[in-house]
Amino acid sequence: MKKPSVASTPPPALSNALRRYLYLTAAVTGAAIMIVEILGAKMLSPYVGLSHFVWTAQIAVTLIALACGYYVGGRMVDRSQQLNRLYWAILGAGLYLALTVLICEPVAFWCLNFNLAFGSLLASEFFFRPPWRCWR
Amino acid sequence: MTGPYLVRVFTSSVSGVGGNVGRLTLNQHPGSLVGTILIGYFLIPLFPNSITMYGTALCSCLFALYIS
Repeated sequence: MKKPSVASTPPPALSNALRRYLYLTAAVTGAAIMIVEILGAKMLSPYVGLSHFVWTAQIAVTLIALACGYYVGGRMVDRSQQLNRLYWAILGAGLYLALTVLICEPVAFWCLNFNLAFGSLLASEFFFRPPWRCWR
Repeated sequence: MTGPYLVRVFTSSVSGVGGNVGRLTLNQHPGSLVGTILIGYFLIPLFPNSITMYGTALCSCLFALYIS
């Protein structure tokens, strides 16, 4: 597959390769959101369980992150349509997600200092809001 | 932020914006469906959670680095 280019800003007419890559971006980020939503609840389950509080927190944080992501993305693209900024954000989301695996245990234990409803919301918020916001 | 970003990048005139949003959604939602099926029926039963999370992070990074 020919590597698409994002050099022009904004592209007067998108090449077919770039257009396909952008559609693929939409599909891959959509898949990543669902993977992290379901897997995130599983990762937190040893600490906070899998009660309705945990799923409520997970879904609430997903919706907040999507709303923030739409807002921030809309504002950003109005300022500049450089695709590099979008892909840097996707890269940052991936790096943040890798970091959450490393610090999951101490943060989840800290969240247990609160009651289950608030603690699970806090854990979900801390771990998953940044990547979801960037992907959606 | 991907959604509004791509809508704006795809849109060259207001007359085509409906079709662009439709095509983008047509790609994004099946992607979410595939992700849901993958994680629910394959990844969680087959791999440890941390490996799957690292894999998702790696895919995200590689996908961004490929074009940057």
